Amino acid sequence: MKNDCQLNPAQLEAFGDEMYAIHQRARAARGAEDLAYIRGVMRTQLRCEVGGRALLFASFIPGAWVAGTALLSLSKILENMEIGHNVMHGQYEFSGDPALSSRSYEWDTTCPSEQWRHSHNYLHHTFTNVSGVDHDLGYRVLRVDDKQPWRWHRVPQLAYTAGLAALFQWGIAGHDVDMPKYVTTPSAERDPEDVRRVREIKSKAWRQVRKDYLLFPLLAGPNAVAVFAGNLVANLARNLWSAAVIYCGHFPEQAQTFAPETLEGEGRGHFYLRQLLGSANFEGPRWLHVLSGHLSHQIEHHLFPDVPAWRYPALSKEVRAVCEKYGLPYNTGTLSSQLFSALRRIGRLSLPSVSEPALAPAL
Amino acid sequence: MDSLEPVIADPFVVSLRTALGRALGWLTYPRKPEEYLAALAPRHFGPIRAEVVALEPHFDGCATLVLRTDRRFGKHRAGQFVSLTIEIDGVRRTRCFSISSAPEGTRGPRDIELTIKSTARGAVTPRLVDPSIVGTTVELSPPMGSFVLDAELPPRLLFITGGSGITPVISMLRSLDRKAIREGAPGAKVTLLHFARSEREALFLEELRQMPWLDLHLVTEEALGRAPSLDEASLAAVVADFEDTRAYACGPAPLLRAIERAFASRRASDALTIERFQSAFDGRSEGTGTVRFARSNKTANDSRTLLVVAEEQGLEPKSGCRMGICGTCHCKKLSGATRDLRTGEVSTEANVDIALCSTVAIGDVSIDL
Ligand SMILES: Cc1cc2nc3c(=O)[nH]c(=O)nc-3n(C[C@H](O)[C@H](O)[C@H](O)COP(=O)(O)OP(=O)(O)OC[C@H]3O[C@@H](n4cnc5c(N)ncnc54)[C@H](O)[C@@H]3O)c2cc1C
Ligand code: FES
Repeated sequence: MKNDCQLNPAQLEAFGDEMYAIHQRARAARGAEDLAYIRGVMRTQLRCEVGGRALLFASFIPGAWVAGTALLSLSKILENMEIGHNVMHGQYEFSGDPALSSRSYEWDTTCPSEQWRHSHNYLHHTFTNVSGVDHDLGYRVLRVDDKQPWRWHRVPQLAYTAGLAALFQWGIAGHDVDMPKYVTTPSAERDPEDVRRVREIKSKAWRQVRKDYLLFPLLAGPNAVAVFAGNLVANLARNLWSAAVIYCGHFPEQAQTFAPETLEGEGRGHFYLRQLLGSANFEGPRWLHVLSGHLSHQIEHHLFPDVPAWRYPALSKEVRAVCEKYGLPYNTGTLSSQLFSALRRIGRLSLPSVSEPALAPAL
Repeated sequence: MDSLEPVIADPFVVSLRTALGRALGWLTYPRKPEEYLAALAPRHFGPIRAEVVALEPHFDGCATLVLRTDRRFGKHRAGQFVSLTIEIDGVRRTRCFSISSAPEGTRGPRDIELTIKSTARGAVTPRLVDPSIVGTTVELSPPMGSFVLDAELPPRLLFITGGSGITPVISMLRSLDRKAIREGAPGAKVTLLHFARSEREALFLEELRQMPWLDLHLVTEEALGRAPSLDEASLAAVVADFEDTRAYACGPAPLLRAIERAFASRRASDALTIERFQSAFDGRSEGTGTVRFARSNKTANDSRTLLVVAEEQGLEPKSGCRMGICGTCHCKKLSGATRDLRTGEVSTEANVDIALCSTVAIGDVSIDL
């Protein structure tokens, strides 16, 4: 096992057992309260969406455009973060309610849910922060890990980071396909599975675009421009916010990455440890947690992805206690400090890594 | 009755409605328009709902529930059942119950009655017969089933019931009683042979005794001093030429088997209609049964995880982490009992998603693969 863990094998196993016990208790506690919570959020989101769109239609009234855009942004953020992401993790599937089934939920972004479940639920959550396997390590665009080779085109990557944030839903849409490779491969030589995926992405993207940028503006008649602009800003706001939350989850300086060898014969203890060391939290008031889909508790989310996210704040107390007991770091801070730390890391890695001088010339 | 006949609509109206629905769907994408409608006007869209407005206990663990249905429920035919969905501790559970009230009910026009006997350690019935159920909203299917009287009433009717199996039959008897009150006679010679543990546990006994036209035979374990049994001879002792009647039976499985044998021995199986209260699960929490992969039509007897079983059968179910965290292997269980290895929980619900990689069959199971 690698030096990313200061625990001896017996300690590691005991740590894994303690995390597993918390996990089991949390799974067993799922029930009516969780349903009441998520359905409440879903009701709020629906009202925000209907209200937001209605206000945008009435944007000739002073203030209506701003209020409508704000409500629609809020609706999209709630839908993607607290509802979509968490429902697709199967957090509420214990209920057997078809509306909360991870398999059939389709979220309000250009990313097809099925591809998301593959790239995120499976690859990212199973191989968290393992270089070359977890594509969330930089989304094939950013260099966020010393183990990734440096090249000249990395230099302006802070600008890419900002660009990716603005277009985040489009970045996420192509997440399950190696887009840089796809676009540079002649169409005859492309992997048929990738071709199918891209077709699926295009089809979903078209439906999203048709709704937000064509039909609703057209329906608004003389208000078309205002509705178009409101929808654009709402999508942008959601993009920026979700990108900020996601950057804070695994990119802050202390969040560790792992070599693929780590996975060989990895036991339960090390699995939990990798999730802990690879993730970072941020603190804030309750509304901030809700808007982040409780990904402000990325650590708890990675330890217990199938537990309803609104329970993470309570679980974090138990997790912290276990971390303290084993002398393990628990990476948390304010939203701004974590975001700053992530940007600093991205900035630092836009230049070659000093510790691995051999890498650059060899490539 | 109108709910049973398909509504024949103008093809123009139908295509207009489809076109409108599709256009609405473009606006509400990725959700369906119905989801918005159900959230904004739950009385008119989404599943049929009913509120439990009263509970009338019969004896320990057995009660009649009065449900106020919403407008969309329609009228049932005497003898039909509904499938009732209730959330208990956050888990949706669906069970079938015969409607015990007559379609021409004596209560409110949208009220129906269900008479429920709780099953020991059952997931649903103990909750339903608890007085705290009053005020709860449940979901209902439209009335279903073909355990109903023939359109033309035959000259002689024979009902054989055991325990709570009387529920669909009491609905028919009540319906006949209304007719008897209206027209002076029910229009048929009616016999009821009912088996119960004791007179106290014989459901609706007082009411049955008030039906002067009914030829009532009650057999109780208490009076007999032993478990009652039924065969051709004992049935003939009640109705000598039972093969010439139109017969309906509902009750415990052994009773139904005995009745079937009796009718078969007189080559009169056609005269007999049976309603079974079968449960998907016999209460085991270990062991295995036959796993059926419905779409590929493969079966196996294997106690390993359903993911492994499916793969061994040459199927290619999707899988990811294989340890129950990613959800890639989630798949619909059509019916049967399974145990989730992560939580140890037993699931007996039909049509729910399960994680194949962390679920084993503990009975006969059918998977949508
Ligand atoms: C058409 C039809 C009509 C019906 N009409 C009526 C009616 O009018 N009235 C009525 O009362 N019933 C009726 N039923 C039966 C009803 O639907 C239920 O199946 C029955 O009441 C048991 O439900 P339950 O949820 O309480 O038990 P279930 O949870 O289904 O349990 C069934 C059995 O499994 C055992 N069990 C369950 N879970 C476990 C576990 N984890 N470990 C060990 N053992 C377990 C229980 O002890 C029980 O013996 C009807 C059924 C059908 C199909
Ligand atoms: S394969 Fe990941 S949950 Fe089953």
